[in-house]
Amino acid sequence: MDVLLNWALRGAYITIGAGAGLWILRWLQVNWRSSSERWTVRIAAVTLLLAGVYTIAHVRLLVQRSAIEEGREIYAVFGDPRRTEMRRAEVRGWMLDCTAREDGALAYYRERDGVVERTYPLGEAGANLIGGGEGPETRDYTIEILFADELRRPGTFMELGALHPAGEDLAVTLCRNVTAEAYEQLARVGRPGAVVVQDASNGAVLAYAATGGPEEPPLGIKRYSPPGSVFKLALSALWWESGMPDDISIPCPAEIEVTSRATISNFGNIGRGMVEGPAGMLIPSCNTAAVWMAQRLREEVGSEAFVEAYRRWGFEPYEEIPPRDSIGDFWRTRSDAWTRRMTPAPSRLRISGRTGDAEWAQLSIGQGPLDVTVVGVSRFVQSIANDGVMLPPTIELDLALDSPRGQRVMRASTAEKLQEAMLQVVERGTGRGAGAIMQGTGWQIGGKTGTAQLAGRADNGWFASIVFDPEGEPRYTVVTLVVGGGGGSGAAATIAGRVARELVREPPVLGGAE
Amino acid sequence: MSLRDRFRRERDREGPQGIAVSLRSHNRPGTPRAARRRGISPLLLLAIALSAIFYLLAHYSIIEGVWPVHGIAPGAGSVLFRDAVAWIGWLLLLPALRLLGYRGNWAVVVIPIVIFFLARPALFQLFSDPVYQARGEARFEANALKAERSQLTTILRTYDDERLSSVFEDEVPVLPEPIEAVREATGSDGRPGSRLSSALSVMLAPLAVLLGFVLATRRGALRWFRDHREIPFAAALGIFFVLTTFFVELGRVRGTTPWELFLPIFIGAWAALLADDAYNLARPGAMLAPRRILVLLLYGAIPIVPFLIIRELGLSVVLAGSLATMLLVGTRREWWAGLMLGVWVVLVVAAFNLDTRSQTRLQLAIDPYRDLSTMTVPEAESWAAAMHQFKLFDANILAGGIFGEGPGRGHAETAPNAADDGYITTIAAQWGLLGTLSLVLLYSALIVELLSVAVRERSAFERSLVTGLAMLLAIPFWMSALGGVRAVPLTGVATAFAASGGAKLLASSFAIGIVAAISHRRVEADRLEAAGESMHARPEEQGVQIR
Repeated sequence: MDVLLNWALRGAYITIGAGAGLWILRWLQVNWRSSSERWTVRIAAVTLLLAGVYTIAHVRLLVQRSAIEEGREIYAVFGDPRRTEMRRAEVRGWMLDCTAREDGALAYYRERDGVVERTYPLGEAGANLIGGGEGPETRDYTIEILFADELRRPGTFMELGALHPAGEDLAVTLCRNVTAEAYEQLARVGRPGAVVVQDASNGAVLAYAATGGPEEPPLGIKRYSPPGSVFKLALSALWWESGMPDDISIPCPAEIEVTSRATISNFGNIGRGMVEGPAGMLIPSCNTAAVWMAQRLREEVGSEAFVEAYRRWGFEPYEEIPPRDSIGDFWRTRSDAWTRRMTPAPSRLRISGRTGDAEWAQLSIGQGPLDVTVVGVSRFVQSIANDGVMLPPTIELDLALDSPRGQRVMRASTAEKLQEAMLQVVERGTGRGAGAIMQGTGWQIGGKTGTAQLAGRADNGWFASIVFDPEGEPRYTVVTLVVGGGGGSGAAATIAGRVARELVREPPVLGGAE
Repeated sequence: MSLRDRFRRERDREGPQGIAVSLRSHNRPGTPRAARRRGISPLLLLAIALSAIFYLLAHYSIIEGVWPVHGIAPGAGSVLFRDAVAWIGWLLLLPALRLLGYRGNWAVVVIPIVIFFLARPALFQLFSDPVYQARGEARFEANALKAERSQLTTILRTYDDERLSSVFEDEVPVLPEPIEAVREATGSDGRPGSRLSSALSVMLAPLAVLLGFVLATRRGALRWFRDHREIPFAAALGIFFVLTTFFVELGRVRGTTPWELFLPIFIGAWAALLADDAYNLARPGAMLAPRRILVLLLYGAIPIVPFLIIRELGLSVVLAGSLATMLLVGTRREWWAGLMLGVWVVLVVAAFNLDTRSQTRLQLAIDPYRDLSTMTVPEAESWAAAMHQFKLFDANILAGGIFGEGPGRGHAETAPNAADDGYITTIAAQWGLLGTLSLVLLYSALIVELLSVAVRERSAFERSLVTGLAMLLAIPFWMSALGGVRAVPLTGVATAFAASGGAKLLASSFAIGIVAAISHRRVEADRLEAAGESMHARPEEQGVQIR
């Protein structure tokens, strides 16, 4: 009723104004030629001109909205009663988790000591993506801030006319329990790190947990690290994509000479004789076998095939100047603010036909001029789990449920071979720690460890994994980075295993639908 | 000689002999159609009806939709009463004028009422808001309570029982009352006099129109003013100087700003001067006579001085602009325009070079959001204080967008002076770009109609007077409207009928009454003249047949 009344009143206002406008035009029409008193016509024309000036000035302010709001934001430190009142009075929509149930809300209102406050049940666990925690105002990369417009938008037609409309609920793909578990595991390790969990079939981000204070950029999205041996998945994928033989024996000596002055050795300087195909290389994460494969592939298919394949999998090749601009379509989202702020730094590697042998060998084991982000690796692993179809990640539940269309980046057979190899890595290779945690659940985890060596600093540990349901279908991906956490088979694999176990304890059903 | 006698004498002399007939005025031969038309045109009737209904419904919407959410200010009930009395008063003004036999231009009376009806609800919301008129700590506390109350009412309105049980563990808390926090400050800040005068001015404005009309239609009233302009001019100037010299505190006299009341008198005196000396003023040679220059300075420049003393630069511009336009219209010499434009440019340049306040206002209009990194901390604080109002005016405009947030919505009350300096931004917040544009067009129509009255007037005094009064309305309106959207520096002048400002409303209403009276007298005079001319028509052309 209020809405209708208010629109009727607007209509009356505009009607009278339009009538006045026509009145003036008619007056001018009558008097323009007939009036002997030209000064009145001139003053009337000036009046209309001023009305035009007013309109232009008013429209200019509306057009400059973002600049003005930015200015107000800067000057808000000197006091802004409007902002204070609006923020204190607003009732944003609730942020619901992947189940879309109210009891799984990630942000809602609760009375405390007579004051109703926005409450974030995950606390610090959600501070780096959802909101809340310490310094929520300075974290400009939370859903609470980046989706503020959506959360403030009136949810119903009736609310449109309200003085303080209640905002619309926003259902996100993040699952409360999994996110809490991921953060708890990271906190237990006590090292900086990030965990990203995705639904393999739709790209939904089911959990994101990262350490870092309010002033730091989101670690899982903006921070670079070499991927270490996780990148051997890409090398293996290219091997199979290029039609190279699967049953080939690959030498895995303790070390391999890549140039007259450079050698690459295995972890612990252990030689394994011959390994069977890429899978055989992946299971013990044999560096020397990977170097041999990379050299052989280069001879067979050329450098350009590497460049094209890596680009397809989300790793941007460059020759001289590393790309800095983020790729705009990384996320599947309706929010421009999210796209602007959360598009990750581009995963990138320096590779071309001019790449030297030493650097070529380093790249094959995920070292050298190679920078990736956790979400970048997660998207690549998601494409492996989704039978070769890469989907843009999303945190909006309705988008995740809306049958996303992805892009095939590798053959299904290649993806299957990689899945199988990853299962083997956990069963009898470097990822056994994660497999042990999953025992008794009926689910399986397959993965690949990675240890990124950084000069003068402790190694970063990676674990990129796929969680398989009891029927053997890949359902989720879990990617973990522990900065300075040592080898990937340690803390990173353990965290991934525990997160996966929490994940399958009550597998999330997006939107609560069966 | 009465019209009837003249008619009979003509008939006796030239017409056929026979029985005497009595004719009603509209059947008299040769009476122009325009002169016969007495009522308000259907379009104006429609506008007044629509705006009157709008006024009631907008008030209702504010009371129903805003008051329960924000709470109310002390005295909100009296503001409502004031607005109700004003509504009745303005609507009664029209039949009252009919009863007084008004035959003039109805648009000059109706359009101000329509403007008042459209703009007043926005001001009603401001003056009934618990925070808008609060000061100091009370304002801060009331703002917090108002926000808390708003949040609670939104939750109670929109959440179902399940959600409510998630929010409140026990009982739902009682809604806070910001009025309690405000009452102390607004009840004891020594401004009840200004509130009373404001309330009275709103209620008495329709009467001021009537008063102006009745006074100006009295035979000889305007003539006396013209012939004895020194008396009202000296009296007004004397009171003005005394007030500005001894009783002013921060531009106010006991919380009121009565300056607008003097403007029509200065305008009237200037009109009288122009009427008497327009011929010489139109000749450069004659104009330069020392005595003439002295008179011009006395009536044209001296009244502006007190405004400059109390730093009411806006009103000095209004007065100077009105006098200048009258001079231009009265003499019809375009070189006056060039001369005055030159003087104006010199004064503006001088003002912006000598007066730091003017410089600041210009900079605020151009770029209020200056880069803080280029300023020292004290400079930044000073600039932030100066632009505080502007950033909130901008926020009002952005909140309103194209269609506005609706009656009482848009949170314009958070901006200081939203009812006067920034009234256009208040309208923008509530009715959007289209709403403000409607108001701009209505005001433009009013100005055009006032000028129409002026152009029909044959007497130099009345013509100049109406032109001056039109400019008294037009110049503040444009300065205020364009200042609100930062097209020109904001000067703080009040806009009649649309913005707050009791003295302005009363003075403008009185001025409208005078213009209506002049319009009425012109129509009456035209009628008589037309009737007189028709006496000389041949019987067969007179259009009355007697069988």
